[in-house]
Amino acid sequence: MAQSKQNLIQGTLAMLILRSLARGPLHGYEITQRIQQSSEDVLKVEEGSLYPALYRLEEQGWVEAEWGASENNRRAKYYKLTRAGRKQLAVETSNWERLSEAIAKVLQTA
Amino acid sequence: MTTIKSILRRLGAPVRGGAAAPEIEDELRFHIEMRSHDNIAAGMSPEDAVADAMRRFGNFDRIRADCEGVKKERLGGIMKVIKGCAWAILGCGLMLKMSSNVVALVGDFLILIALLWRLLIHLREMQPDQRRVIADLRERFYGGPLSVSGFTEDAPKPVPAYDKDGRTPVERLISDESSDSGDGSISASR
Repeated sequence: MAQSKQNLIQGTLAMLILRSLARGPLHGYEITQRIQQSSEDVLKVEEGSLYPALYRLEEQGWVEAEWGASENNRRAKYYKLTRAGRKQLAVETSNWERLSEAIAKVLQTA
Repeated sequence: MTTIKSILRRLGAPVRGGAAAPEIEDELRFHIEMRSHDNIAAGMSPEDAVADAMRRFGNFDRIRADCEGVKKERLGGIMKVIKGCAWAILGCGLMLKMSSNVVALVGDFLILIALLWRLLIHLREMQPDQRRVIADLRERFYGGPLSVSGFTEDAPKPVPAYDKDGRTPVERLISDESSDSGDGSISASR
């Protein structure tokens, strides 16, 4: 049970990262803020855990990274969605919608 | 173009001498610094701001190790091929060296290439902590600023314990102060 919960969280985090990058390149800190702000502070990611997830997404070819200058002129690593990442986001969003609908139905009928 | 760049970056990673590890650390540090800046802007004291940033971030060493683990998984396959190539070249070199005098020179060249290649692979596989240990040792023995595989540290130059007159730094300071202000008063800026 604990394992499935962890998998769900990991999968969800990947989807949230991909969604955050859908509007354009962001560095890790901006991704954390975007997730937090979009969820109106309901979702709070353990900030460090974002990075292994980002590296996995990069490994899978769904995001790619490039070093650039941040808004305060510091060297920062910016991530952006690849074409494969955009497709994956569509698939994961659709899966998530089906899953949440199914859970909602169960909760309503039970 | 981006895809080509990405492929080249991936292929080049094993021979860049483990450049990934300092980059990971830079990236994680950047995150903590950004959070600290935002905390200070929100009214926290610098100490609280950094402490909060670290707490929110989680276990720095574990996260860095996780990131490195993902990178190593990615490079594992490529490294196997590269190691295989190095051994194959070494084997070819030895065979050519033994066959005749004409191609022995080519054999020597291949052996040299293979050994250098193998050394490069070994250096790349050294852990960042090992490189830090080497950097520390170099600092201890040579002093001055260091730059070892991406780690650049502006180490302060060691102050010699005794000057040419045999005085310690404290004795020198007292002596300089008394010679600066002949009346023995202490200036306001001190």
